[in-house]
Amino acid sequence: MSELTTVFNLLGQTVVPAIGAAAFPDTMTITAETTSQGTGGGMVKSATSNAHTNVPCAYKPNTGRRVPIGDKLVSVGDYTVVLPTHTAAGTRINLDPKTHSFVVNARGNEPAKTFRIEYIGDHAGVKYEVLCTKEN
Amino acid sequence: VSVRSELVRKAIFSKSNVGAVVGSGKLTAIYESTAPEGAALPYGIFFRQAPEPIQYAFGQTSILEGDIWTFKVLADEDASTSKEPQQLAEDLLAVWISTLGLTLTLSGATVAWMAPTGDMPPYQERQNNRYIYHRGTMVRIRTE
Repeated sequence: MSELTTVFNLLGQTVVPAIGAAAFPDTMTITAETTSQGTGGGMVKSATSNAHTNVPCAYKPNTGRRVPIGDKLVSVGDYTVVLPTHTAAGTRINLDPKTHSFVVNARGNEPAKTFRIEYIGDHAGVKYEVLCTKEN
Repeated sequence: VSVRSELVRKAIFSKSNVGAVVGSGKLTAIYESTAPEGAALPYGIFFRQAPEPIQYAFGQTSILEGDIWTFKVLADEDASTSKEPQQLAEDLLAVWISTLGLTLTLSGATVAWMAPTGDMPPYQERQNNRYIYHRGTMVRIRTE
């Protein structure tokens, strides 16, 4: 095991989770959707549960646009959401773009915000930088 | 012509925007051509798809005018926790078409023929992590 391996494991699995609450301004819930195939071959989203709660995070806007979807205009923003790869208890947060979404908790006057995952960037197991979209 | 079609458009909305079609567990609303920003799925859209040639009597007196109107329902995977969005859209569309029936009340004209003429090709479009399903039926409405 190289020195770098040791350092990155220590950073991702111990240091970042330990300082998470102090290093990130927000917390969020990672929600998971349960999907099953219906009798006609389509998919039914039957339930939503919480995969992880109180996950430290930070978000920042990248770009945005207004697009016509579903015969109406929708304002969509691209955001980067940063979060640790491990919980404070040392459990790995196994993000799944197929089922997970982020709900950042309300903070002061800031309301709760929902982010839908587009792509998960994994920084050597130290932190996630997740490209998300937010519908305004 | 457009003036007559406008009468039909208003009569369609008046007959569609009722409790049997719009409400809890049904369409959230019905719109003509486009929905406003923030409209919640599932909702209904209708619009004038295509005009028919005007039919004349002797001379230039119009005796029959007609259009094909498209009625469609949009639903996504977040619209129901028990039904596939395809089925949800079809079910709501069936109620809507049934409620419309085979005639309309117009001011200054009479419906001579009104009946479904065929389905719109179904399609879906992506919105972030889900799909919106479009399901529709075309209805021929002729007035005199």
